[in-house]
Amino acid sequence: MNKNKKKGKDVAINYSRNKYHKFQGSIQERNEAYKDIKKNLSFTGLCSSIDYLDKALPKNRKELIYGIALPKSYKELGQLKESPHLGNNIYSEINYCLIGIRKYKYEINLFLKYRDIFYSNLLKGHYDMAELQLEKIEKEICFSLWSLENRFLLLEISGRAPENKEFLSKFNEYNKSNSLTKYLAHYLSLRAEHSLSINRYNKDLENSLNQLNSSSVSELCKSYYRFKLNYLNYTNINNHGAVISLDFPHSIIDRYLNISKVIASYLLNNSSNDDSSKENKFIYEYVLNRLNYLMNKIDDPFLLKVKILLGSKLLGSTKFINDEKQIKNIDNYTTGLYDIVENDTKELLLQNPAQFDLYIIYAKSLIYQKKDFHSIGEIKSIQNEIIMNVYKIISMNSNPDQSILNLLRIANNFTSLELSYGIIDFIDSHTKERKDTKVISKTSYSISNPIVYETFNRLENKELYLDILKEKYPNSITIEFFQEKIKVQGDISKFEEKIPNGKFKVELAKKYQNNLQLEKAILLWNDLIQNYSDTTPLFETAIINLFECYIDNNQINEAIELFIDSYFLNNHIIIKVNSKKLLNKIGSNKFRNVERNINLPIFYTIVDADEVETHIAFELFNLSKNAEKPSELLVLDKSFSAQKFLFFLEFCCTSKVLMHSTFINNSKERLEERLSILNYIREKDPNNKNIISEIKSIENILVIQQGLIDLDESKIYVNEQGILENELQEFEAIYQRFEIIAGITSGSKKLLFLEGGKLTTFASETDTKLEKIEYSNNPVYEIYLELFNAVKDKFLNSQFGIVAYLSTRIRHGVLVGEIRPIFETHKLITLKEGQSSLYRKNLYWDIAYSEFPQSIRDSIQNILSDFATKVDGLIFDLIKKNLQVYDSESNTEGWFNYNFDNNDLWYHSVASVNCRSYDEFVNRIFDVLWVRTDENLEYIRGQIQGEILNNFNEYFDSLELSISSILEKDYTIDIIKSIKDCSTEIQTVIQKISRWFKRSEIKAADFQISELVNIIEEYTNKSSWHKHLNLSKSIEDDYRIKGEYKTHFADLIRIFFDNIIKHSHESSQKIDCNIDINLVSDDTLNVVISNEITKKNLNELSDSKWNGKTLDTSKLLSEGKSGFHKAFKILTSDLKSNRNDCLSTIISTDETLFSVEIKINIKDIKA
Amino acid sequence: MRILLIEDHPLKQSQIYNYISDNFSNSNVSMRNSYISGLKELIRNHSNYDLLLLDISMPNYDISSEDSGGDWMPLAGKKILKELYLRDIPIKAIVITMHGSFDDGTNITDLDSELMEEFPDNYVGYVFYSQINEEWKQKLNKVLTLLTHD
Repeated sequence: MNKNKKKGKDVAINYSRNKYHKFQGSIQERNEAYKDIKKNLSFTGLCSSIDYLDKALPKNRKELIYGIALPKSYKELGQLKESPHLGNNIYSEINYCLIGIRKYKYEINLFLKYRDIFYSNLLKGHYDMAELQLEKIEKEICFSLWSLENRFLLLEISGRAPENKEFLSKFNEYNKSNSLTKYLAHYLSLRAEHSLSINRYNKDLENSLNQLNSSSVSELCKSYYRFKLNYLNYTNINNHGAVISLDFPHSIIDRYLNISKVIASYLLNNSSNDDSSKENKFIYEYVLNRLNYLMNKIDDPFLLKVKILLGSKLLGSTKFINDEKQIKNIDNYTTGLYDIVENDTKELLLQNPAQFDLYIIYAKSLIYQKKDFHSIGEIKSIQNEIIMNVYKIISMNSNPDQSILNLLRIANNFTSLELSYGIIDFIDSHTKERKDTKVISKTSYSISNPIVYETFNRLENKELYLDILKEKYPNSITIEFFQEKIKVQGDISKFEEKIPNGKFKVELAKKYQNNLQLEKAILLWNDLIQNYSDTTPLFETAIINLFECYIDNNQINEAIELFIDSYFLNNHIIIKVNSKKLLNKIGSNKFRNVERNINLPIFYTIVDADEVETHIAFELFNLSKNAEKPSELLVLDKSFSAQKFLFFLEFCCTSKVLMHSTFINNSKERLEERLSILNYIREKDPNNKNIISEIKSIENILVIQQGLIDLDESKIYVNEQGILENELQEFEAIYQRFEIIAGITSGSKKLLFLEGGKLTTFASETDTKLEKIEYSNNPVYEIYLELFNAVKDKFLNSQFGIVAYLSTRIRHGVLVGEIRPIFETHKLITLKEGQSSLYRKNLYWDIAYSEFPQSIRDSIQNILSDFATKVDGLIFDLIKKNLQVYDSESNTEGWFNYNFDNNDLWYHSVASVNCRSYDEFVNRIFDVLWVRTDENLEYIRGQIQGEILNNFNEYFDSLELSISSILEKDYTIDIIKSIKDCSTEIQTVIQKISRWFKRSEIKAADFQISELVNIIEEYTNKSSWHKHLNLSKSIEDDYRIKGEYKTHFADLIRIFFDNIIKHSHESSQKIDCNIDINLVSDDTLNVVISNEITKKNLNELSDSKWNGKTLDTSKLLSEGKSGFHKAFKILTSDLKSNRNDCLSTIISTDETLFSVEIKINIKDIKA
Repeated sequence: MRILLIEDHPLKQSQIYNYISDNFSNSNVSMRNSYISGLKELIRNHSNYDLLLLDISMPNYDISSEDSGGDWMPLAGKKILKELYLRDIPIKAIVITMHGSFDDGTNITDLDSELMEEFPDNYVGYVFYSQINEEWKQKLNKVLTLLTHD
């Protein structure tokens, strides 16, 4: 040891010695002391210091040096008594971790050998042997997160999936760690699930991560979780130091695997080029130095591969593994000896099942021989699953999507094995958007595979790599060929006789293409397409490159034609074609450089281009045929290829494209346009299930949309016939008197009638003098007035009157159901707490602002609660005061004003004298009342669009101001967006509500009962954002009913659907319910609506029952617990059903099911 | 100045209309309420206008008693600008929005840069509209005055 080194060592030991009391002190002091040496000592110093402490300290003070490096059971895993500091300094964390690796290098090296055997058995389907190997690792080395994960994996893959969960449960019971171990275990178990899709896994994990708060420590933990649990998506991370630090509680095996990946990720994703900062260069060099250190201690091919893949000067100094057999195999492949390659690769795969390049070579050797997939070894193995899916993807004989998903799942299961990196890179290269090859993926290749040269970005690294290989394998034709290929002036013609003709042509065409000899390249690519359409890899390469050449040669139409023709030959062959360049070229030329034929919209559709561009392509084609809408092209079908035309209609003329057409003016027109196209396709292709289902769906939407319009337009209603037939008989006699008196007084004759039939009395017992009798000036008018008031009362307040329908169709939950859900959806108001006037805490914003002081959060809650009070108050007043009949004494705020001026009425009385019947007389009064109603409605529309909307807008403004006054602008973005979005929707819905207040002249069309049920289901669900009906329908007798009864039916069913929502438990988001409709006798339709009882409150349950057979008119005119009365009235009055049995309710004996049974006489209402 | 205002929010629409009418006596503002009605007017009659005032989020179609407006299009204004570009319609456009961020997560300043880069021939800039202050009026005034003088 030289003097300086010794001096340094002494200094480090003294440094620790001086802190010895702290290492012996309290947990906190000790923790600080360890943190201190980790931070302040160089690696050499740290080694000396730790060696000293290891000897000097008692065992119970050394846990923070090596942790529990070799747990002897899962109980010990992650179970540190003392929690180390969380550091994020990459130097010190790497150094500290290496201290442990230095001590346990023997165990780690042994582990790596055992691990390879384990994985080999696992991949090849030798599960018993794999299990034995795993036990051996646990017994002879240690238990670890790695072994835990592979236990899960083994159980899953060997067909014992339920045991995965049992094992996790046992682990959770047994393991008492208070570190992140159990959280990791949970997701490792999930990740091993062989049936779980990778998307689902990623989503679950990300959801959980997003729920972590946003503190700096959380960010470090998130990096750690992502690195450990989703490495395939997070190979490039920040917080490298923390990822190492947080892994300290686990075994030394885990720590080694972790740090080797951290180092690889850091080095392969960063560089020390001239652009890097001084500090970055320093870190990079240091990490590189640590890789070398690690390689000196641990014999791991992964480290060697990482070093080689870093390129540059490292290449020259790296020892390559001698792999003659693999090079020979690759040479056979290059020269086209595919049958030999097939056999040799099979053997190699069984020896090296974790080497991914072999899978590609094997699959391609089969494809070039035009052979089907052949399994190797155990048929049901992961290895064969990988080969089969790789084969399917390369051969492109079927949709590769499922194979891609299968491989992604396998890669996810095997994230801890480098094989997974190769799989992911392979998938990336076979999906549309080619990502750059992740360098780390080549750690799954044989490092002697010359194709690895492609990974290097710099030419000198490519050359150096191939030179080194050449030195080792001087006779390799593959290496020689690649060397020639990368030379700028290279001449590959000498290989023409040595490699298969197709491959040679590919290389030659590429050479021309790279040298911009596009015409030559185009000829050659076309030749390949003509002659190698049965050899997918060559055919696909030719298409991809010819497409590129056409673009570069400005042959835009040829490029599109090639793309479309290839697509129709094999839908999957164009997946790797890069269409972006062409789209940019067409876009930047604003479509001037392209032919407007049917290929154009098809191309834009297949490549899933921007929707505006796709629509322009679609429109240009239509207009070229003088068609504004595609349905106009249907008559021209003979002028197109049938295959292309049907594709165009099915996939280009979709609602998504049609929504941009300025030749279509509204949603209904758009749906009808699509429908006419679909009907055409159905005619030509009757077995196309997608088309049949889309037709059904659009027809349903159209019916529902029309139904909702009908409902909106029929809210203002009076059943005049009902009033005439049922409510006004007693006044007929008075009318007759009116007739008589009008007849008598028609001349100049004057009759003496007491004014208004008024009586009088004495002032007192003593004062018995009567006032002078006053006679009416106009007895006809007085009788008219009496009749008018009677008819008005029935017009307004009877069961057939405007108020009853207003109550059912607007005030009874409908108006609230339109407005309130908008505020709730935008999280601006909450429900009230029970029956109180207090609003529930708005948890959404409370969580969103959880980082803020409590006082601010309280203020936000108060502001929102104040806002909710105002909004609900406004809705309440609208329903309870404004949308009511005006009364000068009891309700001066009512907007339905039916007070008439005497002069007007006198005029009407005179006009009524000529009536020839009671009905005519009453109808004339109805006319007067309707005129007034129309005036009222106009006023109401104005009030709603004016005063009510202004009030809402003021509340929005005030809310925005209040929020802005307590939060800084940057923190208000989300909540202000909610306010604005809500405000925009409210403007629209208020316009819509105002339109309810007009008389509709449109008569609803006849309808099917099933259609109406769908409409009301949609309507109810739209009115309730937090609860939804999960309605199952059994409609055996689906009658067609006259249109005039549509709204009555709708009101009836809506009342019960609303009740289901209203009376369900607050936590029920989806409420299961049924509607059964069948004919029980000739004319009686039985409708049973039932739902599960989610809120078991006996009082409420009994309140929910209907016991009455008589009508309480006051319940018809008001809201609140009046649904059954309204329904009873509809059944008995509007639908004329038998009042004895038309409505009944049943609660099942076990109190789990509530049913309403309705019997409707359909004799006269059937269409 | 002949202005086309494509805006679905009635209050915002009337406030902008009133402000321009009150302050730019030579102006003539026409209004459309949805993506399609606005786009149709631009395609057919763009030469009738000197300036487009454009909201970003709006419904697909005009809202009426027969139509709820179809799909809500959070970035309809951006799509209209793209249509103008691809159809070579040279009208100058000012985005007038009350949103600081949009449903796809883009904020208004990013959108501003994006529109400036993608549609430099049409897009002039944006005005941030708010009901609770009047800064938008000053900004609109400034842009309109500038364009009037141009």
